[in-house]
Amino acid sequence: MEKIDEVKALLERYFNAETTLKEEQILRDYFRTDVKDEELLAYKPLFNCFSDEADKIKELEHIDTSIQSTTLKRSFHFRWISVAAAAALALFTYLIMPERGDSLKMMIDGVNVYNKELAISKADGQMSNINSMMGKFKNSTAQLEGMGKVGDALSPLRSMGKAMTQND
Amino acid sequence: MTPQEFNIVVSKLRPRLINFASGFVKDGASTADDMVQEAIIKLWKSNELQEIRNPEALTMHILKNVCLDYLKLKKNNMDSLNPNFHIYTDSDPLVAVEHKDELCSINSYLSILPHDQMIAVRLRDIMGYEMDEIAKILGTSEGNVRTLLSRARQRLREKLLANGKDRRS
Repeated sequence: MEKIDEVKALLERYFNAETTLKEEQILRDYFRTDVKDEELLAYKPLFNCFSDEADKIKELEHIDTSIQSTTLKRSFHFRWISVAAAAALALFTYLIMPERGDSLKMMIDGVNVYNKELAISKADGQMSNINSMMGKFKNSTAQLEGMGKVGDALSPLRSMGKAMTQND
Repeated sequence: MTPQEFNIVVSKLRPRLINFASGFVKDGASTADDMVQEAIIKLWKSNELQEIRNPEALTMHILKNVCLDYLKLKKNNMDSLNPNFHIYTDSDPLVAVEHKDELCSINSYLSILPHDQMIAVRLRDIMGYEMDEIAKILGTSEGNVRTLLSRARQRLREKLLANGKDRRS
């Protein structure tokens, strides 16, 4: 009986728009139960209609939220799948390349050299040739430098510039 | 507010918006959807959007105006409407008789109310908005919202008790 009295008191406040949202929820929950009081029975259809409409909205909101989170998860997975696919493709391309590992590839005198030791010895031979050429070049440049000094001596402007800088 | 943020806000609100707009039309889905779309476009174009703290209240406010404009337009053009098309108004007493299968529908109760009272009941009893939120949506004071709700609920009580007496007799 206490519950019924409480509900009737709440109902009076409800029709005067004095109830809070929590109190209105208490009323809706009560009318979802098996109401036996004749006076209260009259209000059951109205409160049940309100509850049904509210439940419909909550259901749709829940569906929308689920779709959004599923879409986000899918896009997250898709991103990582695409990264993994790109890495796999790169690895595959590397593996199917015929030339790999530590074999040296060298072309000497228009001929491909695949043998490692032969390639190194050929390379050494070429480097020594280059060094000797460089040595000759150094000697040549030394001679050129000498000629440069003679040129300086002969040029009046250059000798004046030198004299001025020497006195600084 | 960026377009992405706007889309997120609107997506979350959409079920409520559709439900609200559906209360204004009989044939439901497509017309309610159109009204919601119109409200969303107006919201996006609104200069207040960047400063607004409560986009939900603003959206509902715009939608309410769209729905009421729609009803005024339809009322003024009743003769040109499809005879199968019905809108719920408080001056249509035949609604409950013609649509007996919808007597348990919420619209059969709310159809007896003036528009502002109907909107107040929807916002409070179905959507669960607080008084201050309803006041913002309706563009009125909290005191006026309580008055609207009180009058609406008492009219509903009269209808319920009258139905109850009819069943007993």
